[in-house]
Amino acid sequence: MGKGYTGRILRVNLSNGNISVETPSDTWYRTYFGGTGTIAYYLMKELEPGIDPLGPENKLIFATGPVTGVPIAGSGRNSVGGKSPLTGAIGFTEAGGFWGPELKRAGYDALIIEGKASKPSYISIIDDKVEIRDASQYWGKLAGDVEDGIKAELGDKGTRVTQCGIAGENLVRFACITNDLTHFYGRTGMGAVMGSKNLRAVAVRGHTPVEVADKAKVSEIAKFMVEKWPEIAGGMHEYGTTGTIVNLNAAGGLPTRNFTQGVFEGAEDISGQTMNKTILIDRDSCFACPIQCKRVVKTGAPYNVDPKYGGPEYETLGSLGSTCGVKDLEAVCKGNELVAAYVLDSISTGVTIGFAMECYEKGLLTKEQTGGVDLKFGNGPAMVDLITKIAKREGLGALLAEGSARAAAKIGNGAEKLNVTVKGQEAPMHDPRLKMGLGVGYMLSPTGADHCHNIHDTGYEKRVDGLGPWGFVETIKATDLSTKKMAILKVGTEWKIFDNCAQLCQFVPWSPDQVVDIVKAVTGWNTSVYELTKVGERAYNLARLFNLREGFTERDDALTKKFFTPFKEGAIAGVAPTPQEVDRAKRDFYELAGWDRWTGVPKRWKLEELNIGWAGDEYDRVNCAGG
Amino acid sequence: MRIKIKAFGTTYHLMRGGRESGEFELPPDATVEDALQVAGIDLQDVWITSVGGQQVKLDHLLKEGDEILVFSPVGGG
Ligand code: SF4
Repeated sequence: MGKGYTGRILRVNLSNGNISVETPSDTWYRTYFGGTGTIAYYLMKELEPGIDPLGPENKLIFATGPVTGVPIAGSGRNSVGGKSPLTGAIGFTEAGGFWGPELKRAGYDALIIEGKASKPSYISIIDDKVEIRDASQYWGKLAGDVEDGIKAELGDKGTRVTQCGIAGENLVRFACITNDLTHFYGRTGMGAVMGSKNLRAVAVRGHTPVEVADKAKVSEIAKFMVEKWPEIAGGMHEYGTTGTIVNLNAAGGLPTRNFTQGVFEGAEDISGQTMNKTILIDRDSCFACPIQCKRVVKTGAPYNVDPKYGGPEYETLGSLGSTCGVKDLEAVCKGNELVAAYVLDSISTGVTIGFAMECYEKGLLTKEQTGGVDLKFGNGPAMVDLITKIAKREGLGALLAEGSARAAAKIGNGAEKLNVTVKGQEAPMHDPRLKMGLGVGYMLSPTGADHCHNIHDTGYEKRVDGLGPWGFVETIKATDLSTKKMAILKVGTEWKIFDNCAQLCQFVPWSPDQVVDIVKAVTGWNTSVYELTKVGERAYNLARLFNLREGFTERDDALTKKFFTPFKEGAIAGVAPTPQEVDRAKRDFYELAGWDRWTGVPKRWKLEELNIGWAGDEYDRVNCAGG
Repeated sequence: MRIKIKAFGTTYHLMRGGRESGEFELPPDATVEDALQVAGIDLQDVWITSVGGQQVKLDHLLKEGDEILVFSPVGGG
């Protein structure tokens, strides 16, 4: 097998206590690669369709890639996946930090967790010593207390802890998983899957550095970013992603008041610039990354925000801030601290609260239902308070903990129209009225609305340097929905998914050619942009087949209605895609992808080309039985 | 005439030397584009420009005391 991997996958069954290690072949590794690819492979192979995502039959997979733990900027990452309790589709999500590298150092490329423990438990992995331990004393505790407790119990400060929180224990459908308190596997509700298994945490300690094929080359590439980052990623260090607030606001596409507006009068108040001048006290980083894009904030009364949980990034400023109409930065930071302490996805939490606020303003939720709270847009204390209620499933929180799509169905009376989800997952802070290709990306994402394995059209209006290796050399408008844009969306998505197979952070500005050099130097495989894009395409197709096997159809590849209504003010007033335009674009994408134009089902030849004919057989077994 | 520029880059700094704002001396008939050039901002990095809260084009004529806001294109987040 290629270097960079340990060649070992750890399997822990919480129902019967079995612990085993498997060693896939070199070909397997080169085909499925790691991260998202590993997750899509195992979920397609081992899950029966129709299982309850919160039942013991679901599996929770932590998967690194070959680059995880190699001392190079952006390599602190790993993915987590399983069937999503939020969408019923495949779920996967990535985070940086230090936990993934530690798992590799302990000697494992991935950890597959099966079954359900009979009592609150955590898994401890110290190199070859793997144990399922009692976690009763941690159940019901905030993330920070659990982190401290497990480290003290195991007696090694170098232990890295990943955990679901109180939200996961309470099966909040958008509960997430955190590592080191500040890095989040945010999306698709994997924290609820973890909680459903009575598993509060996985603690890891390893002592074997990751082996690479060409050490000198790895050091040379690492040095490039150490020297160049001030020039090519200086803004990322200065503001992290928070710099995006003012730029998107100027462009008229900052999600505001549950996506009813694209301009927020409080944008400057919640901007990264304001944060830097007021409450930012430090920056945080991931394994081996010199850029340090993460925020650390601290405030005094009334919110007393605890710096141990870091600080908000763009997505959180947008979701808990502008989406809820809240311009009090300290309230948003308190919200950020609470979602981190309870371990909730900040995007789904903010968008769900924003949805509830619009329901309240439109009279679909009464003051009685909100527990006497005046849940208007802009009510910061109410936003902060609702986070705890959601995590604990108290009052209105119990309804919202189901996610905004289920809540909308329960509320009825047209609440569905106010809901901003795709396949049941709340949209992130990027508006398809501004970035139209991204909107089609939301529709097609196997995990529901997602901005990470997607394109950001506005980035191609002025420069397309990053697309050269795929033959796109002309700038293209953000509103363009042509077949050419769909071709860009296709390779853009596949490449991002590849990043999540190899595990490289997309905020580190590695060029595609540099990524190839990194993979070559780490694995020793003589590879290319072509092969690595295929790796992403393969994982993408497996994820699509998983969903089709679950009964999803092309009708589920649909954009929430709100995005077809233009804004009344701001730089893109009057602009919105039409349902016909996005439907045509979607079908063009299907054809480019080798999927049937009308059903969206991958063609057999495509699956054979990607060497996953077995997944086609599996799809046929379930979907074509008796027919 | 003197004008002010504030640059909002998301991933890298737009203005030469990594500065985020600065004041510049320009001839009377200068445009936004002239100002950006003096500030060392690459036009390929410029997405939106505004003066006095209004979005303006690169050929917009400046007047004494104007403040130009420059925004870079946004990628992910
Ligand atoms: S750029 Fe930021 S998120 Fe990415 S690895 Fe570096 S510190 Fe982590």
